[in-house]
Amino acid sequence: MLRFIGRRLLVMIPVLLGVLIIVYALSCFMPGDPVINKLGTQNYTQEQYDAMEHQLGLDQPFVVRLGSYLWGVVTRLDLGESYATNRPVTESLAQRVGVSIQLGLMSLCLAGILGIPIGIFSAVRQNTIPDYTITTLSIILASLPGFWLAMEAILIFSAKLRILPASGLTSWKHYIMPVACASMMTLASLVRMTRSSMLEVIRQDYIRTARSKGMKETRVIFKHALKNALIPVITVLGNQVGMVVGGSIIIETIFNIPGMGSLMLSAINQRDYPVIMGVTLVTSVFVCICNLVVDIVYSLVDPQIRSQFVSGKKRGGKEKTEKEAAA
Amino acid sequence: MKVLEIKDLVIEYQTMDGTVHAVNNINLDLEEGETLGLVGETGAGKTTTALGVLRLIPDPPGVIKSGQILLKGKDIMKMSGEELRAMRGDEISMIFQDPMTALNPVLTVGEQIAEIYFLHNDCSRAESMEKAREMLEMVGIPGERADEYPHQFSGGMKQRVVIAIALACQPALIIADEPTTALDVTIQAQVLDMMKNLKDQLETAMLLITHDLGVVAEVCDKVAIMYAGEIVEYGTLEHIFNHTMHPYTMGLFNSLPSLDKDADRLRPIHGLMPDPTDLPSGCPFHPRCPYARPECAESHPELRDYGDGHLARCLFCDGQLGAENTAEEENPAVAAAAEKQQQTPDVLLEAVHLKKYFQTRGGLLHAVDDISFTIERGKTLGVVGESGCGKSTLGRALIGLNEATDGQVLFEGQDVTHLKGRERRKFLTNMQMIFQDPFSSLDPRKTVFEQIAAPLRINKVCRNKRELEQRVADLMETVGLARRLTYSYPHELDGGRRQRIGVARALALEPKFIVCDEPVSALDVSIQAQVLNLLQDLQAAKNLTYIFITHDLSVVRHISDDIMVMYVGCMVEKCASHELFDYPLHPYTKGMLSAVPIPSINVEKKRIIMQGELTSPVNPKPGCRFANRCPYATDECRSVQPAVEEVRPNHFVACHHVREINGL
Ligand SMILES: Nc1ncnc2c1ncn2[C@@H]1O[C@H](COP(=O)(O)OP(=O)(O)O)[C@@H](O)[C@H]1O
Ligand code: SF4
Ligand code: SF4
Ligand SMILES: [Mg+2]
Repeated sequence: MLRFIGRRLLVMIPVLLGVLIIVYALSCFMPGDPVINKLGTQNYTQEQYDAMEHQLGLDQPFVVRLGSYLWGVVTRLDLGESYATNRPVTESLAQRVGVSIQLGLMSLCLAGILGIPIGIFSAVRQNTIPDYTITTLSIILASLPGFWLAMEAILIFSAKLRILPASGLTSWKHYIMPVACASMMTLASLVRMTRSSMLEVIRQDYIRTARSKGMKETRVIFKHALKNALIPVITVLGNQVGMVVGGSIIIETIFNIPGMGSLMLSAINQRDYPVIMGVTLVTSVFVCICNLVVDIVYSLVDPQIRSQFVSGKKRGGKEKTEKEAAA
Repeated sequence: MKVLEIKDLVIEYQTMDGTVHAVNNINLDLEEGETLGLVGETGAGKTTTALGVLRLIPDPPGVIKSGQILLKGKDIMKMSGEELRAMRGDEISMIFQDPMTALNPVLTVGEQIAEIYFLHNDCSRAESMEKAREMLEMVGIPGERADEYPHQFSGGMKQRVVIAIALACQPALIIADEPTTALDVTIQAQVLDMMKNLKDQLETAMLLITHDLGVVAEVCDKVAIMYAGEIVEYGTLEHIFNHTMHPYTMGLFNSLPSLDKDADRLRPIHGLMPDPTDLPSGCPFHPRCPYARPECAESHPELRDYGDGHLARCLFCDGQLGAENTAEEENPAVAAAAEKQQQTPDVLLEAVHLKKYFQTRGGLLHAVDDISFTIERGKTLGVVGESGCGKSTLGRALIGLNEATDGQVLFEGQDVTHLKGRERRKFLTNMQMIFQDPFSSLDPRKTVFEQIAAPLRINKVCRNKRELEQRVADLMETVGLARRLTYSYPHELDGGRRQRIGVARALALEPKFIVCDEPVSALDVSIQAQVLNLLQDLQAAKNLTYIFITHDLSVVRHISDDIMVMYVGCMVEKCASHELFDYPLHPYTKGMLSAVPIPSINVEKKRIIMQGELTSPVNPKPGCRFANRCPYATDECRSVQPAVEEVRPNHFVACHHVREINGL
């Protein structure tokens, strides 16, 4: 198992390097000029421009800049300084990341706590009125644009009813709308995924075997079907956890929340390359780690995968090839 | 005492296409300790009957319309949900067909057995687990393997676990739905043997559903033959096997290729099981019955007792059947050409020390390990062996679908092992392959025409559309597909017709050599016989050469000139077909032949039950690969791999002790 984790961590290095290089190149070649942004005016002299360009290090060729940036990251964990604020990027990331993780995890948990049971319920009651209602609602929910949902929520709860604050993040009340809106989008897809995965499992022969043993339907569902049905759901949820770190640009902007998403948006607007790179780097590290964690969790649920890790039990591998042969 | 009585049971499925009459007025009963075989083709209603007894019919669309099912006198139809649950698993248990999917992959096998005690006997968790271990021992699996998961077991062992679950509470009745169909013959023999012993020990009654008359002859006391939802014949083994009355039962026997006779042609039942949403008037069998008369289409025969409990449902089976209307569909396109082909034998294909290894996680997998043989033009070489022994890989390596790791394939004297690009494509038109599953090898969105035209189009054989249409029409006629099916889609056709498309496609480029990989394994016996006859006719007409891969020994005997037996990647025996069955020399061949259930009750059989299972083909140890199961194994066998020797003229065997064992 440890060897497996070690190998996966090693594989992450080229992946992350690749992501950094691509994003660096993309942001350098996108239209707009950070020097002008930084000067803040159209009335500048050539000298002023050159001085600023030199100060930001942008007078050097692309490859040299990329090289020194990567060198800084690898040797000193130095992500550079923001063009806009002149403060180290790590500092602004540290300030912001907590908020995004908090919001993201809360909304994911909410989506999971609601979505999985609703999905199961809908599957067990397949083709009844509750099932039709749930399926229809989740399709509608999934097709609503996120910003529209958030705006409507603000209109209703802040502007009309005046019971919830529309922006900021200072009391628990501030959390309600952003978390609810963010979770709605995940919720819809989670319900539909759990439902279809559960339906798939219920048709399997081993469920028929379980029923023929004479157990209650609840035991059939929870003891025999659930674990199998959750395997694909875990994968999707796990990948979402990784994305949480990047924050939600839409939700954070609309509710005016100081998280990674709004940081990214302003950085893009100001051509603040170091910040763009910083957000990208942190997000991709987390996505990679979460993928690894998903694979480990996966192995706890699915014994077929677990036996690949546990080197002591060689038998698993052998039987596998025999099964392939029979097929 | 009667354990089970089924009275006038009617079960229907309400579908979009209409009402499926799956079970029509069935009456059956089972005494304590008795085994009843329920036999019939796919779609006859066997599984529906079984699920009906457990009240496990999927609802919707299924409904039990009427009838009574009495378990020890109690009416199952009137039981509450609670009573039903108490009955399932405790008094009646069920063994399902496919052991690969019948066990839950995320629970240990121990838990899955223990659950029965936990549910029905009020045992604590630990007690249940303890009993589960005992039960595992009883079906021949070491108790400490209870903590392993299903994927760690082979197919045969999984089926033992399923049987352990079924027997756990010592039920009064076991319903076994095709329990050994998915298993290899030596493993099937082990499992059947075990089921028989346990059943006798525990005095359980059993309803055994199967399509294999050989299995019936081996384990059943009584037999019921089912057709289109009805019982058409019922009686003791003696009645059914030696005094067959119903034309359908006769047809089933005639469709079977036999291990001990060399019939030239099988006599299949023509046509197909009728559409259950629209059953024919009168006797439902009349469209296929060779004895049918006009009356048969009008009045529906009753199930009558012809003495001594031998029941049959036929208007004329009391000795008035008369002569058979032998309207055997001779294939005109084929029969004409058949006689001209009498050429001098020449070698078409030769394999020289052919090897195919795969790199896997566990190491190097020796799928085909040093196999040499020749095939003469116009002959059939049968390849038999258990699943995973490398038969398909051998076939694929011969036609270059898997490039050989080492060794050579010579086709008409030319080395074709490593051809590439255009040369390979050109050459490939000489060699084709027919696959096992006729459904998954056809593109579901293409019509029959498109399926057959595809190879012609790719190789630009026809100059224009007219010519293409003509060629496809000719091919369809050759393989016996009616012209009206030209624009049907695969899902509209039955397995036999789909396999005919596979054959037509393989023939399209006029190959000289065809690898048939289990072409009839997925088909019912009567349909299987139709396809086998077709393959033989085509061979005669076009002087085709076949490699015929199968695990079914009676099929291979029927169709092959020579037979090669494979075991874990190696060839262990090869000789002429009749020689193999009359004088098997290798210990594995002997064991395998004795394991085949024979559909007759008049032959005394001495069984050699081979214990154990195949060794792994991954990094095989030196020595004979059969040594762990061989009763004659010595230290030499465990250290030195035996070479292939010509022990008798044209009879090749790979075994150190073949001469002592056979007194040669
Ligand atoms: N592409 C492949 N990669 C790895 N192993 C394979 C591959 N194809 C076949 N095998 C292995 O080769 C062995 C022989 O397989 P196969 O030729 O399919 O046997 P059979 O036809 O007798 O079932 C099996 O153990 C199978 O798992
Ligand atoms: S009743 Fe007629 S059609 Fe039916 S089995 Fe008897 S002879 Fe054949
Ligand atoms: S070589 Fe030895 S182990 Fe192998 S089949 Fe012959 S006697 Fe048995
Ligand atoms: Mg195969």
